[in-house]
Amino acid sequence: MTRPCTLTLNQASFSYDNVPVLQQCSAELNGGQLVGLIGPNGAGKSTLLRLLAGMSKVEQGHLELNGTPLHKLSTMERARQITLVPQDCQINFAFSAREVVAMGRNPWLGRFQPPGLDDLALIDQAMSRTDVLHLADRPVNTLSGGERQRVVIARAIAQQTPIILLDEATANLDIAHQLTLLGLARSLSEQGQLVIAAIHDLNMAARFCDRLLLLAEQTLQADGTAEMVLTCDNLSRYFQLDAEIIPASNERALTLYPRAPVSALTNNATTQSVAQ
Amino acid sequence: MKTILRLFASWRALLLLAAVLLLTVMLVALGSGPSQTGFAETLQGVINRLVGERMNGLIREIAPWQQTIIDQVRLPRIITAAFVGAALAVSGAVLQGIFRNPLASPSILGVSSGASLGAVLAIFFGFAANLTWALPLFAFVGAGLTLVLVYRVATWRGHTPVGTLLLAGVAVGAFNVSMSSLILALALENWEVGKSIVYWTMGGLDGRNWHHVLLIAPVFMLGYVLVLTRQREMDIMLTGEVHASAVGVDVAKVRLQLLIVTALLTGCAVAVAGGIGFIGLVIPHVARLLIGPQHRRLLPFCALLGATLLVLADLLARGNTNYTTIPLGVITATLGAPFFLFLLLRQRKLMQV
Repeated sequence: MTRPCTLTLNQASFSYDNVPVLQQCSAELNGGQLVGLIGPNGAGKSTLLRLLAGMSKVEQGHLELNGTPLHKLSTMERARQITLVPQDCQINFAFSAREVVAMGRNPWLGRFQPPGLDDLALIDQAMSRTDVLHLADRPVNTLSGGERQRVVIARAIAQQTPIILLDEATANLDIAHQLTLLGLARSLSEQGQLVIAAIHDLNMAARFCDRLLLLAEQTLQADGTAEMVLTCDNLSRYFQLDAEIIPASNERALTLYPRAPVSALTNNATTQSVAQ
Repeated sequence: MKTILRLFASWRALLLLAAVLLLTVMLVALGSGPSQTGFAETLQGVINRLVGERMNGLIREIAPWQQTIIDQVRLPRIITAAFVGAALAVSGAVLQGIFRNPLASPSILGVSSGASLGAVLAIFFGFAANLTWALPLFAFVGAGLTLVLVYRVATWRGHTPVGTLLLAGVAVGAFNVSMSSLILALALENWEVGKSIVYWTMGGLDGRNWHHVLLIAPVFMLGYVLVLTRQREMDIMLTGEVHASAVGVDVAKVRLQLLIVTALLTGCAVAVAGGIGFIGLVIPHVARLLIGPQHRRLLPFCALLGATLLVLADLLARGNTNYTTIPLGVITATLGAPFFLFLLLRQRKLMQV
């Protein structure tokens, strides 16, 4: 159903006003995966997602979509391939929820072409998948943060792109809706889409994602399954966290029980010992 | 489904109502004035023009001089007023849309004063006396340069904070005004040039004729059509820049195009009627409250309401009395300034920069 796609990041770097934010990031991401992007605060997760969405241009290195440099695509062509659900879903104008979801059809419509019956069906379908169909006619500025987030995710689904990027999409949701949303992200990836989600909750990331990317200290430090990425060493070095790791069993995925933050002193000691 | 139909019917009904209101106000304005030509005579005059002179006497017999008053004095003036009001209101709606802020408007951002400065320069250097298009062209360039400068100064890393935007508008606007005054001071050496600048800067719609209609009507139509081609993008841009980019809107490109169109509309309105403030601020805000943020409905509604308000303000300005006529800009500012303060109070949180 979904077109196959590959997003290739090769030695990519990016900086704000000459302050490097990302350096030498490399990864190959394929359709059919749910990729969790994890990392401590300020690691540059949002910046990396904006790069992958083609909203900022890689300064050094390459970023290619199916072999074509991403910056060569027009905004419209790009929006047929990749969409991003930003962290900030505040919308202060009184559009109805359905109107916001309908905006996802923009890259597929001609300049004066109104949404057709197919589009309307896709819009309603997307809204029911994120459980906001009952809010369709409500002004979006009267919805709660979590409801609005789900409306924007419905917009991304209605956009029908092979690649969906979610920036902390679960941050505003209650636990039940977090589970529903990550389950939805999984089912999208099982249909062949590439879903990349920045997630703070490491247990949720371990439970739902096929693959985790650990972004810290301006670059990708680890890439692989939860077992490979969520090690005691990585957690203490990059998250300053002392945690007990409970390996995956038949009933549950790998779980971690955070014990205490690692103090700055011990952290320095670890870094030094690693350096030596 | 029923609710959708009802909503659908209601915004169409509002548009129709606004159109009827505009026509009514225009007819009333057509029937008012210092010369002895009342409402009945006016109706007759309009019928004469629409159907033919042979219909004269259907309502009332009118004299040729009355027909001339209607044809050559009142009608062009009222039509000019309507187009100027519509152009300013649409400019305001577009600016508020692309800056996502109800405080943006041509006068607040210094665009009107930029257009004035351009026009004053055109008069001072004598271009306006020789070339009909020089004055509106200079006004357009002045408006455009001001808009680009204010936008550039206030934008950093793709963000345009409201406070910075308004302050930049105030600063550039003050510069524009002082430069206009400087040129006026220089021009007073030459009585003829000085007089025409003073006359022009007072603004208003006195003595506006069919030439002015021919100038603003096509520019308004062009600008309006250009804005219409971007209405879906404008809706989407209201949800935020990252959101717009995610669904395929090239925000920087669309914004630049719309800024140019706004400069065109404002520049032309100022060239024809001088600096008339606050229409571009008040109308879009009221219109959005009444009809919603969707530009497909908002833009025609703004055009109709803006036209109505300016025809009405002009009617008040020229009055029906023997008192000194009040400048048009004074009336719109009297209405608009308190409204701006009201918006500021409501927006206090946003203003903390």
